[in-house]
Amino acid sequence: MVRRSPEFRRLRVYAIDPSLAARQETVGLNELTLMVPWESNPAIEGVLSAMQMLGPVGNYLEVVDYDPASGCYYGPVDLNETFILAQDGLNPSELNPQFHQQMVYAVAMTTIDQFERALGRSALWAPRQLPDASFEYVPRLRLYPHALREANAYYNPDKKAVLFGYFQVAADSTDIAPGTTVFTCLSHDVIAHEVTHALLDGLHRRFAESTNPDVLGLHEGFADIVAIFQHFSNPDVLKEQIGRTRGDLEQQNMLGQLAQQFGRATRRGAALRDALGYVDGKGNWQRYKPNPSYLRDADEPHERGAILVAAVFDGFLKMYKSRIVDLLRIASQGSGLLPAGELNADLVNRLADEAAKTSGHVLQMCIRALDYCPPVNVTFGDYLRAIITADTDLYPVDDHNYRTAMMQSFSLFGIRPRAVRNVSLEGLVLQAGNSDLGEAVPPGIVPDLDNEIDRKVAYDRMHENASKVHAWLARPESAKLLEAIGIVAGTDGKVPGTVSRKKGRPAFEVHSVRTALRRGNKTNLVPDFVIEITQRRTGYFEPQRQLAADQGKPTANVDRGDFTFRRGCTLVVNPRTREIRWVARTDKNICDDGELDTLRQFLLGSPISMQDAFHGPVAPGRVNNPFAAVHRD
Amino acid sequence: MPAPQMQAPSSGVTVRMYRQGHGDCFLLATRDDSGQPFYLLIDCGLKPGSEIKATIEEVIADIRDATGGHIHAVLVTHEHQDHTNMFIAKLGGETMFDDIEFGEVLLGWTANPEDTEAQQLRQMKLKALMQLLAARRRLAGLAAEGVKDVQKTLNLVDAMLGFEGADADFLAALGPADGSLFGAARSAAVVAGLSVAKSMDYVTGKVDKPRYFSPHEPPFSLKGVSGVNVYPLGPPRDDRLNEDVPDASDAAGQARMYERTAPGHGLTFGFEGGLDGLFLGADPGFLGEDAESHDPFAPGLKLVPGGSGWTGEIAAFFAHFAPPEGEQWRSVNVEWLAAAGWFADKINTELNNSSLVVAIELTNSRKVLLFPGDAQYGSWMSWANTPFQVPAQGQAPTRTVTVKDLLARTVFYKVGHHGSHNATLKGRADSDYANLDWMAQGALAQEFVAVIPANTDWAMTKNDPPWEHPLKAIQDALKVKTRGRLFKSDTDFDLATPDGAVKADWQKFIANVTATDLYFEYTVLDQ
Repeated sequence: MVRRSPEFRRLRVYAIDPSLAARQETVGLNELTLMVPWESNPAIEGVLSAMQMLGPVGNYLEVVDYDPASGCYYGPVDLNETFILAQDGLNPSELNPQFHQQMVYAVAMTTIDQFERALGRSALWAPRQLPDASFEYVPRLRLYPHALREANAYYNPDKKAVLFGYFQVAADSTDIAPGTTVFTCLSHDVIAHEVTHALLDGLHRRFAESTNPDVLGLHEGFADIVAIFQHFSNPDVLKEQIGRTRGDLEQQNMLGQLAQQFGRATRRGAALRDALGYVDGKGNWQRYKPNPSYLRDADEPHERGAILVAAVFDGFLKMYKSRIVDLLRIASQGSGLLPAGELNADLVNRLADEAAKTSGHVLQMCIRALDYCPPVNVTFGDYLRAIITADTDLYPVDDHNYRTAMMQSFSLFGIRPRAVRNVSLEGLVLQAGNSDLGEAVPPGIVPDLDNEIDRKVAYDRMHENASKVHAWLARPESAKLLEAIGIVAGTDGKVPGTVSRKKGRPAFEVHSVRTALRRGNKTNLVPDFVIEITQRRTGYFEPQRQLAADQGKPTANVDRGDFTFRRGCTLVVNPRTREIRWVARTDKNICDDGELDTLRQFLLGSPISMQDAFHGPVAPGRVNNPFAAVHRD
Repeated sequence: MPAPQMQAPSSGVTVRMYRQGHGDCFLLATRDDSGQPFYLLIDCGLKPGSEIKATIEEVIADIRDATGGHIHAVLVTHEHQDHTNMFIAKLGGETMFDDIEFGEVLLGWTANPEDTEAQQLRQMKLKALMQLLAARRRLAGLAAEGVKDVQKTLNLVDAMLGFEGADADFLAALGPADGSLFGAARSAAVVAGLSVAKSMDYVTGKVDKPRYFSPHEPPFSLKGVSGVNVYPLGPPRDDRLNEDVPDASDAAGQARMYERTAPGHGLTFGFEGGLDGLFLGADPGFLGEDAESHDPFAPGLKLVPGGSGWTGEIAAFFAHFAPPEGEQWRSVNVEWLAAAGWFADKINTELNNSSLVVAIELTNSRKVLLFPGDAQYGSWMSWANTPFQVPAQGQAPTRTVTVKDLLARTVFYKVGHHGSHNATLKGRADSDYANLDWMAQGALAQEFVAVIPANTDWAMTKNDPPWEHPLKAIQDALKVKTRGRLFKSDTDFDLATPDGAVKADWQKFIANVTATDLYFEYTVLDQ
């Protein structure tokens, strides 16, 4: 008999969080079974054997259940244990820490799986910076289900770990029984949100540097988008909601409200980060209607992130409505008016399927766009351009007008790119490459087509390829190409003395060479290279000092200054022709004094940094953990 | 007894704002019914190290000389260091206030030991404070062991404990966590060692019994002074007490602020969010509680090295992934204690709303001086809820006075909480809540004066993160509204006519101003 390991492991989790089981009207929505890619323990001599799934510790994650506030450990679950395997994992339970381990693992793996599908490659965590400034590969993200005794959970980029907290519900709570312990590690949304922060950090390290009001907002908003649409892409979760709202997802539905139990326990009325709507003065829930002024008035990361989520959700509703219009016509005999009473169960199933498919598509669209964003100083406008371009690459023909829906929704919420002359699909796609520029990569680099190769090998090859590409672009012959993509090569015009240099020329870094997939003209999938290039310059808060340093003699070892100013671009390159297909670049280049001053003013005068008398400003690159500060309030 | 040096004006009230530092200290003088001066002292404190030009000794000596050693009434707005610590300041081993008599002491209901609601608040605060002190002991222990990651949190906690009056002596006495057991009495003694507690004991010990005030009670008068009515506006008796800022998602509330605020917290000292037991694990002996009373799981599920259930497999697993030593870069031993910094901030800011807020009305002209202490958003929002019923006095029949009317007649505003973001509300004259634009309506706009007790340089540079006291947007609004009649304790007052002012009007104003390094003095005429 040939033994073959299964494709998937079935694991039960709470659909949203345990609170649904405690409320009579939602008890049916409580549980969900996730299909998680199969894996067992990596063999570690004397600790783990490949027969077990202890921890769980797999290839991507390690769940370590240490509770410092209680001064104890909780025994690790073994998911390969026969009785556990036989019943799709442990029964959902708040009282059993081993179930908590199972749930954080299952939901985090699902999120990772979404990323890998969307990007067409293996997910890598951000490497660890060693004291000697070199980088070390980190195979697994660590999850601590019970690390904090407070209403908080966050990703710690230094430890490459997500810390989940727990807390007791106040004695005067009416929404949740007082004394109940709320575990953030049992909230699907909190887990998906935090793991997304980690995945995004692995992809774009500089997206954690707050250099404009959108950067941290994108981190937050994107994490919520993943949490919400990961939810919606499961039809079972949607059926009850669709039945209750008669197919109209615009009405109040709790799926759009993140982190239910967490939110109700801290008594903010609705959920913690209710991105999609609010309760009006009369106590009725209202969806945020598009209004460009929201963005203008919002300056806090969660707040701006919520607007991004609302824009994407608005686009989702447009797509969903256009997909179900025929179903509604059929069900209403052409009148468009559904009969009174409960909806036909078949109709509910079909509607839920359409909503799930649409969500899945939106999720893939939003994740894929990450490969088409500039590497630093990203804005919501850049993200919109990335969504449109990425989708164009994957689906050259926009059958369902998804891109138009997304463009329109973003525009209605006031999100538009700065440098775009007119907001149209044509205007939003990125700067296209030009074969006159020549080859962007040296010959002999091959894309990784197999996303099941050892991730350490993929990591090493990415860095090896980055140095090959750097050497290639540093050749004098590539100067024209560099200038065309917004990288200052020093061939024309004077370069300020504060721009980082190497061998007398303005330095640039090639961060990574990754593989992405797109649909070719024979509808087959073909690979692309995604390459990030950045430059840096030392910034001073005092303009006089800046001027002096800019005019001063360039040296390799300028002091660190008060802050770091970065510019750069992301290239999408065709591996066969080695020519550039798309360029996603920051506004202006590293020599631009206006952009440098914009950053200086942002750092000095940011209302975010000073909004509370006791919470002060933080310069980019000088913060220990931006995520802990953003989440605790 | 030497004769008092500070003259009471023939009409109205003279206000002396001391320039001692980042804190409040106001001496008011008016005439009683027999024509003798009557002195009212409102608060007396500063953040240590925030001195401007005058020393503490000079200020107290001036108070003694000004009043001739007898202050008829002492009003303490709330129990924070920067409002109270000078009461127990010592010189040569002697408490300097010892030779100054107090006629009466005026306090908010939250300070009343016989008030049931106030008792509950004090209990909650004590509990929260004990949790924080437990965390502080643990943090100090870890810092002493050389754990680097805790120092920032420890500094933040100590800065906030400073508001409670935790000085170096107190922190030394508190000590690091050492596993010792504290009885309730010993814990209570620790807390009583906070200098704010000592200050309050000192002040209330000067009189037989302080007088306590609740909002919207009929206005009270000062003993023997019929020229002044005092209207208590706060601290609120309802849930508004808990609101230091509006909810971040409350758009209407946010529109009332000069700058948008981060999510807030209330005067419940942390228990609302279910933080009971937060730092129990830090030092159960100090808290006198069972270490396991707030554990998240049943006792049998807890595993400790060498204990029951600690199998070879489990020992190997945790030795690899969470070793007690080595691989420190991924350990999470101290992260849970970082919440102590945030918790300390919360306890501190929540106390501001317990400020006794008073509107002092001059009976002839009905002009008003507003002293809100450090009252924050929720307190401001509560003021206009209920009008005052003023009982019949002599010829005058019973009348109703609205808060809107009181503020409309306000010609002197002591800016709340050093001008911080949530202690002056923004609005319009026709808004339905108390705000800056309600003040000084009609002809009174010509004489509106505001005073900001703040040492901005100290607040911005000696605190990490810095405190924006005053908030720029609030200071700008005050500059416009006062048309230059704005005093800030860290800035010398320029007597020259400002641009755009009518010279004659300005001359009339500065005729009532005295500016020295020690204080600014301004007389509100009752005419």
